[in-house]
Amino acid sequence: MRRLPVYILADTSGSMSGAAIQALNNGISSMIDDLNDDPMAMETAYISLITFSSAAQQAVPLTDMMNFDVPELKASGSTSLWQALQVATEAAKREVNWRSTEGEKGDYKPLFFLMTDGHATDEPGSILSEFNSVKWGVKVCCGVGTNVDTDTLKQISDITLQIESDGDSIQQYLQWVTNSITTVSKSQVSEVPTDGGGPTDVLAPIPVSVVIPGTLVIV
Amino acid sequence: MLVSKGFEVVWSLISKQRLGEKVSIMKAKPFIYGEVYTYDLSSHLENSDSYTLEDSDLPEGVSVDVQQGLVEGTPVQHPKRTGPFFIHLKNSTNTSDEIIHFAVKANPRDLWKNIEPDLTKPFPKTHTDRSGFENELVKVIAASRRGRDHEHRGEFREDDFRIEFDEELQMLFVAVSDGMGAYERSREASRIQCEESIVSLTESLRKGTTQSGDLLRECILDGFAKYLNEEAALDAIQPYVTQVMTNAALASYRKLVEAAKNEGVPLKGGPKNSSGKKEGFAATLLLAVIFRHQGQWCTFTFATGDGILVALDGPEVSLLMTPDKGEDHNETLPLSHIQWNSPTIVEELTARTFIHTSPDMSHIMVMTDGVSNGKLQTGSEHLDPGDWKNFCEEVLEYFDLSNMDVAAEKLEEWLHFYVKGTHDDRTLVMCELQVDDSVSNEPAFDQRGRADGDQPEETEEDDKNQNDQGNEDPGDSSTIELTNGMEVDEDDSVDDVADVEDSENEREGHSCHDPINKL
Repeated sequence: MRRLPVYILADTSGSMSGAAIQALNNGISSMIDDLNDDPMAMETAYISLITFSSAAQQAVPLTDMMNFDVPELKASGSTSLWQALQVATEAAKREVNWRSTEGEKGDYKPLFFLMTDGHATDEPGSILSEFNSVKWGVKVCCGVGTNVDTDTLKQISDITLQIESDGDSIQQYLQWVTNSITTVSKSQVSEVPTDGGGPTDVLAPIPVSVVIPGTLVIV
Repeated sequence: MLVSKGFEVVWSLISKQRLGEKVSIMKAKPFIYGEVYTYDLSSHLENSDSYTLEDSDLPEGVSVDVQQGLVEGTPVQHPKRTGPFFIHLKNSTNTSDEIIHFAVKANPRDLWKNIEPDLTKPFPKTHTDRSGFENELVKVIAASRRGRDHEHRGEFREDDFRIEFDEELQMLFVAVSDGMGAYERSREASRIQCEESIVSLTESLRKGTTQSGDLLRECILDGFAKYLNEEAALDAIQPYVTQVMTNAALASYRKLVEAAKNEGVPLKGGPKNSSGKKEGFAATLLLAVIFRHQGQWCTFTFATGDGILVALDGPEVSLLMTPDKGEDHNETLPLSHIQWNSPTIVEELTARTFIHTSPDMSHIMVMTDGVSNGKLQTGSEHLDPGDWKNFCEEVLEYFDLSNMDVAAEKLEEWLHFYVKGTHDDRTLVMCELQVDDSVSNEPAFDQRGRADGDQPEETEEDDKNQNDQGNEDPGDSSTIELTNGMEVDEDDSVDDVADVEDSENEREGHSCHDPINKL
């Protein structure tokens, strides 16, 4: 079966402590519950959770919805954003069933969602080019609050946006991620024309109300 | 609702734990009702043989064997019990308590709903369709069924098919189309394409002529007879066949243009509407013409988009199409998106038209990707021999039934098969070519194929025409006429198609798409 791999990268640095980390935990929990209620998403979506603070780690490897155990995230430390990209790149290369031979149908292209509330505290090195060598389906970066290094995020993603740092905004954003996973898993069922739409076309409509005005950038 | 014993026990142990007693509570892999379950206790316990079972509450069908360290069985759902379930183990060496609890997760099969679509929506379509018949030449079993995904979302079926046996021509026409979910009117696109292409095929093969006025059918049959009797290349008939098949595609395209105009929407979509779909029309098209001539089976096919169109010659499978493949998974080319004014349109259309002939052809199968993605998961480009064999074993047995109507009903049921992650609409048309060859159909065919009813005895001039065909004489009968001057929207202009004659010479030596991709 062709899976829809989804990589979720979450900033768990110290600045996320309080309402933000709580909203992140609740949001991811609801995400898994919701996806378990949608048969198409439940059968095709596979999610991996990568967290980054002073170091980055794959908290949950690519797992189907049925067996996804939601870990409890705690906030502390700095923001190893580049290392998180490295972990995601390596995981995607290893875990996604890429079309190896002509004609073979591999997994669908993986979706990439990153959320951070600050500036990377580590060095990019050559990570970006490695990261870009992975054929991501769509890359979305979400900045939480206004103290975000948007230039870095824009280098990484197809869609960049910023949301307020309150718990509600974070949960609403994660609800959009959930809806997008459902939408994409549905769109995989039916064909799209070879000249069909850009990255935003496959996702759920962006929840404009939680986006800080003027921060939405779509490449 | 029965109160779960699990809650009580777990709570009492949590209380013990809070009081500092040695209690560990662990979560095991969840149950899914109706699915075989195995859980190895050793993944939680270091020395499972030092434990004894103190208490347990497990669903019917599941048992625990502490000595073996296994929890296994197939859980049966109790109408009033939802869990949580648990086993309580006691460690005989240090008297600690071990609770392993098991959640229940929904079986994805039970999550699929079957919702009726809003019948006030335009272009309603029945959830299923089928057709089964037989005559001296062929047995046909066909069915189409709304996929689980559309059932779940209360949407109409988007696949369609038409089958017609032309008594006069003794030819079988098959059209299968898969409407694309991303477009609002795709279910109508698939209907239009199936209907119009068969009307056009009938017309082209009954009355269609080349530019110089010769009957297309006659040109095709002459060329085919030469191929059979004089070892002439089959390529000679490619331009005529391309004309017949692409005229059918173009006739369908024109109907789509007309329909878009009537609806006041752009053919290819425009922005998304409130239901997240583009307004336009988009559907694949798989076409086949099947007939027998001078003891040989012959098939002409045309395809745009995905799905599978194959001929079986005994154990050999010939793919009679080039699947469109975008860079990504499910990208494919619907008929409405063909660039009719492209400078290379003739080459492209020719490349989509296949001629396949064999004395031993046994079956033709045409299916949408809803069937192939479920049963032939490697896709159409490399049919996996094992997959293919299993697939044939499952479906070809319906031809053994005495009544093809009943067989079609069975096939319709079969199309509901459950394969995780593949829930698109499914359409499968299967034609079994009757091997018992009394040749009774052929004289009639030949008489119609020739103005004078003569035997296919070729003159020298005919021969010359065939050999030079498409080469030196730009005015010869191989010219493809793809346009009949119908007006279309500017955006969807097909005017340039008239220019196909300019590229005539480029067709020289174009190989006929005879069997490829044999296993």
